[in-house]
Amino acid sequence: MAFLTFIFLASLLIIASALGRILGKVIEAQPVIPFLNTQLLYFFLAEVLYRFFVQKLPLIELRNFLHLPIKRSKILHYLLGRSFFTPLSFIAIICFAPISLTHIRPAYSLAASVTWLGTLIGISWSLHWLMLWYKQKFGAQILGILTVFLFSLVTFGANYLNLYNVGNLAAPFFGWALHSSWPLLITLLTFLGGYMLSFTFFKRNSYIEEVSSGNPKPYINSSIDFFSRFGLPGEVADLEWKLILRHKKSRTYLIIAFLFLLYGLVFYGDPTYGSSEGISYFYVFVGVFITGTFMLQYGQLFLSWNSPSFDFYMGKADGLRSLIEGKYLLFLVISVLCLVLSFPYVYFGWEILLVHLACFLFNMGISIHLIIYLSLWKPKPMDLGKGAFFNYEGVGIAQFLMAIPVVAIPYAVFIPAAMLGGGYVGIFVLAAIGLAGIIFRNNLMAICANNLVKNRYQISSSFRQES
Amino acid sequence: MISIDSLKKRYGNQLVLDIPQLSIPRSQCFGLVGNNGAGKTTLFRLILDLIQATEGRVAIEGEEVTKNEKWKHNVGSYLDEHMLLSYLTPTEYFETLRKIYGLSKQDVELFLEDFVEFFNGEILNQKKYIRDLSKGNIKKVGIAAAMMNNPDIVILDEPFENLDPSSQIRLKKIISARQEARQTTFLISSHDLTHVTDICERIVLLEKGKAIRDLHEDKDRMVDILDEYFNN
Repeated sequence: MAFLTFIFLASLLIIASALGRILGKVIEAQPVIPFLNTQLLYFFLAEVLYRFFVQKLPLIELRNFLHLPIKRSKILHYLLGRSFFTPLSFIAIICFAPISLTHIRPAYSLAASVTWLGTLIGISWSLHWLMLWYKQKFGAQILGILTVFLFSLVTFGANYLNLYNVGNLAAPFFGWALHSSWPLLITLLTFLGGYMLSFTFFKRNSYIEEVSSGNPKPYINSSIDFFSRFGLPGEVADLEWKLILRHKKSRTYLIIAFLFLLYGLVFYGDPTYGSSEGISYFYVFVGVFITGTFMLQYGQLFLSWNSPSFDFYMGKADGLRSLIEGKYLLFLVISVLCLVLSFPYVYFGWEILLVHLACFLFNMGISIHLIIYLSLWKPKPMDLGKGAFFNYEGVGIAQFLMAIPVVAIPYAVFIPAAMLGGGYVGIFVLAAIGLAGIIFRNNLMAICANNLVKNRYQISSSFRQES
Repeated sequence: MISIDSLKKRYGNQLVLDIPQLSIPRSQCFGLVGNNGAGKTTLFRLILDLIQATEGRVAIEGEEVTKNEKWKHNVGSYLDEHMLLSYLTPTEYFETLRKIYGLSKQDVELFLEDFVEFFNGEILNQKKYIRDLSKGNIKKVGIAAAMMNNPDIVILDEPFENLDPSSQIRLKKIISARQEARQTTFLISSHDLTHVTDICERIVLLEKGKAIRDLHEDKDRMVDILDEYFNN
């Protein structure tokens, strides 16, 4: 987890160091900093959004302390203080420290670069406390979530439609920060005020029953009757479907998979990625993700999803084999659904439909078995109740590297064939190999199943966290 | 029925279980007692092929448990929550098991009738997932699930723990009734000496992985011997 966070922050830093140059290219002749000032509001609006979804005070930990002879306010100061030290708190510094050094210091002064950067950090940190308070107070209510959505919709939307530009309204404040230390002072006061606000709020509301009852989990009743035709594997697929719907983390993955359907819009409409004749090589990349996002994301943690109930499958005759076959069935159904939903892309040309179909066949015939096989390598247990954002539980290096073959192997098949006979031949070969994999799916699944049966003791003991 | 032969389990250098020979005949109620870390759960997990033995073997009806899976149709067990699908409601869970075992709906209705008192109206047809139930109620679901296929062997780890006194007594009735009517073999571990001596005609005492006593005496004598052991 620490490793992945580090990678994320490091890549952010690399982008941020180039921010000045990128902006310079985008807006050409204009000076960079005044333009950036008009855009900063959007950065903070985005921050409001991700803070709203990601951050939460670990109030549940109150349980560990409340019975001890420590003052309630002391515990809260500790919890609040700890909540502050997350990667989120460093994002503003990482994003803007480079540009403040490379562009503001030479053009204005060292003092200007300090007050400007300080103001931005101050706003970001104030948002930390304000969103902490807002989420606890209104976050459980639909209205609270709606307000946040509506707010962002109105501001981003208005800008997109050129109705009015809220970014310009906030720009003078950031401009002021280049000449005066008042804005820095104001944001610092907001920061302190925000802290006091959340502190007093949490102090009044920190009783265990309010914390632990939280929001009652709704009972979701849903079965896919279609699965019942497939015997024990069908039953497992149905169980897995319930598992996905009834846990936050897996639900998020499902939603992301459907959002990725829109991914094509970014590329297909844009002539830079297209090709005047035949099939653009780039389309294979998009096609893989159109139907394969769920398989990749959910499949990465293949067995970790079942870590709390692995002994259930161990205890049933043929349980482990059915687990693999059932999950395959579920992946197949969800991928078919994504494929069907991607049909409207035919608007951009028939060849896109063919690419999607070929990639779907290849994903289901070859890639999925590869993912399953790799994911059986030292799976880690996982708490399904936690959210999906910034939650790397169950993710190891293996999961991180898995995306590479999923993209690279289709290309290893497609490119040679396409170079010999053109894009359509490439697509045909991709589809044919995928189809062969689907026909021989039982043999391919048996390889994974045997591997699982062989390693069952080691896996189940790691899921019980014995070693 | 169950035979254990020179069974050893080692974690690193530590020998946590060492049973040279033990056999449990059909329809016996076999009690397993011992302090924490004595190896009770380890023994059950080895019988159920959930962990790998360092040495030796366990056979059920002459078939080694690691070699095939047929015995799984015939053995029901509840050791801990890893054996449940906790994101289902109890009713859904029993329905899932019904399909896995290939039972009819009437079979299940008939089966659950035996558990009406034990469930005390808090388990079936509630819109609550197993994970949200109290510890005692989760245990009740697991215990009932272990007996669902009417298996010849039922293995329960600490079944009385977390149950309220009335439920403990009801459970004892269920176990005795099944033992009598179906000749079911029960393997039960417990810290609660009164309950386990009440229902089990044989008690094995584990200490640091070794079976140091194998008691077949009448109840009062067993209680005396065990009391003496645990008081020292």
